[in-house]
Amino acid sequence: MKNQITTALLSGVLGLSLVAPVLAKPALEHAHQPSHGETYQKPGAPVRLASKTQYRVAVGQEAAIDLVLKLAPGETQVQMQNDAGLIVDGPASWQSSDAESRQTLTVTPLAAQKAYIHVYVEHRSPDGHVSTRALAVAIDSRSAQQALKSVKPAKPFIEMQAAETIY
Amino acid sequence: MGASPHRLTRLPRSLLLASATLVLFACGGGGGQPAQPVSPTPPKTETSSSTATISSSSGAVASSSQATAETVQLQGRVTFDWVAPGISGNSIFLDYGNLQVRPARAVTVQLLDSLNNPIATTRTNSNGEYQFSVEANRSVKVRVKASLDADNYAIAVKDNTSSDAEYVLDGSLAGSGTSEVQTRDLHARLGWGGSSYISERQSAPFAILDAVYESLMLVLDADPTVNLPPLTVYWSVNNIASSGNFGDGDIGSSLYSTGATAIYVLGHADNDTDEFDKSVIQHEFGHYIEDKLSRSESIGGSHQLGLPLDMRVAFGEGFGNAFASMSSGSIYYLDTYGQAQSSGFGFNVETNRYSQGYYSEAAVQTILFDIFDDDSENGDSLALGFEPILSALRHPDYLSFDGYSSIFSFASVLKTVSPASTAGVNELLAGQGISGTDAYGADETATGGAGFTLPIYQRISQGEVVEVCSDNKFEHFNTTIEGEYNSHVNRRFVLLDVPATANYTITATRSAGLSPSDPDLTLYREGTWAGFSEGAANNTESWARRLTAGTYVLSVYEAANVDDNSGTGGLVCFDVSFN
Repeated sequence: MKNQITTALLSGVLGLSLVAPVLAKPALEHAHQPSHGETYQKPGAPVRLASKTQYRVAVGQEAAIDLVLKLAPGETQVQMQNDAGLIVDGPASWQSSDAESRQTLTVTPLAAQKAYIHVYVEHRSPDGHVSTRALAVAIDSRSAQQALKSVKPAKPFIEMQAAETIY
Repeated sequence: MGASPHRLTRLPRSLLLASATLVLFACGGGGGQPAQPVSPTPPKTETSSSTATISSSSGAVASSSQATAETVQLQGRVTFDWVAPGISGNSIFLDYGNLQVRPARAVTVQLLDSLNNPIATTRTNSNGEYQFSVEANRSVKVRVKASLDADNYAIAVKDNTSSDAEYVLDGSLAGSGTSEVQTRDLHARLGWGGSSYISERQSAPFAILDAVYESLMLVLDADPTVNLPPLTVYWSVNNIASSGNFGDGDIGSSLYSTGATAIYVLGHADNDTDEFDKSVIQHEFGHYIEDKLSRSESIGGSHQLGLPLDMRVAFGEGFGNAFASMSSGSIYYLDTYGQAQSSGFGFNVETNRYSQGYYSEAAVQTILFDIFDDDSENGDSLALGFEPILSALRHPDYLSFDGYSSIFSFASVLKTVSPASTAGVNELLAGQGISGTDAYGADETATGGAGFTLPIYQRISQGEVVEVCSDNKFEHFNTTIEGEYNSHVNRRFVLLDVPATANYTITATRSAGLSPSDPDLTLYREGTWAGFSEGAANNTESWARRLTAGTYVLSVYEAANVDDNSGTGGLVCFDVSFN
């Protein structure tokens, strides 16, 4: 899989990458993690992403991403798609009937942003049942300062303007 | 095969009253106008009105009314765009071609002054309608909060990626006019542009609330006296199936968090969005109901219908699936995802086409739904509705049971709640390959591909020793399956009969198998977590602590079998005792 990008975007981003600062540790530590108790997830395909899900890669730098999927018996079809602003070298799709499936991807962020590689999994069990699950790997290429700027000011409400009819 | 949905049109009494009677907040002045009262009840004026008011969101109200009413009945209807999941052959997807306008039921509506101060609050009825009585010629704005509020529940949809801001749908600031009646209809838009979302996804919070509302009605119909603690539903367009910082949207999955008393809902387009996947919302709401109104010792984690699970997880997840179908009236659990939300999967909650057994989520959901529904297919003679199910979940015998929550303890108490259903419950259990005869699953014969999993509980007194085993593999469909963290083979259960309140030492020592091993322990007392011991010493765990007289249940496990790393761990047995 390799994204097609425009020359203009590429040149612009490459220009940025030349001066991209060394990425600091995550600028934001949101205090929003449920810190205690259990978390109960929705049902889905018996597939688990056993590898890292969060990467920090500087703009323009190439990084190897290991994708390790733990799979239950059966046939698993995997498809990948990445957000704009990432060049990803690796298979766009593959099939596996093994307990573990590994792929190494090469990722190059083209812009200072947090973007995702989306992994879509469809699993067919030995008795023919199909289930699915979406997974994602985050590629954060923002500097600490840029990450700070992305923080929205705290407001009590997200005000959405209704389609309103008054009569 | 269709299920009989519970009545969805009935609002709680408190809600009906709220719809008819204005709930007053302290009046705030604003907009350069003197503080003006808002009447608690719509007055019956003789003022005639020939209102011909049509306005846009500009806020300017053009009225040809000649009325001279001092008080205006300001009313309207709140609606939102809803997208139905579609099924075509084997494909399941969000069907944007099947866009429906639905009423926002029981949501909180505020009347704001020109400074955004709330001057009155009410709720919509089951048709999405609201009503205020307001001073004539007053500049006001209608605000619809993405929340369900009543005396016995408070549920709000907020954005975990925007400092927990609450979603609201605002009308425009406009004069109330002088007509007897002014109508303001507000609509929350989908934001879909034909192939992708192109604008604000306003309807998402209201779609989520509508699914929650159906579940609420299921519970309140069964027991109107129920009091629920506040629940927050976090939804964001940034919420994605990547595990990380929840404040960034990396929530991993739609889920219910017991610690946060919150449901997190996926919303990242082209990855996985769940705001229109009613089954997912109601499944997670079921976890909230079980957590807050009943008990659960489920350890959570990733789960799927076809593979054996820790019986506590199987019961919790099976209940969640069944609860979703009971709430919606549909036997199908549907979940969409993918590029343009064009993929998905689903299953029939009523008919178990997966594996059977007390450790099967699919078996549990089928049993629970068959207890509930009106259908009487072969092997299902029950049609009890939700009331006895909720009664059993809240029954003192269930809440104080000294073992773990499971299909065994639930079925045992249900038979107490509804003795006439005993034969029917037993028939359903047998139909799903469950032979355990009491709350402890005595006489159960299903091993789930690992013989050491029976008996389900072992019981010891002070000074006695019992051997239990832990593994991360089992046989399924003639294949060796790896199962970490919440598989039925990871943890074994030991009941400790404590003779007197005193200090004791609980010990687990390797007796056979994997070496070195790392036994660990978790303790519960009547459904309440009572601590854990996870020391790093090889081959033994020794835990000194004070125990009160009575029965505890101990969960014993090999650390390497619950670490989500199948490259470590394996079959190992421990001698367990307390002295």
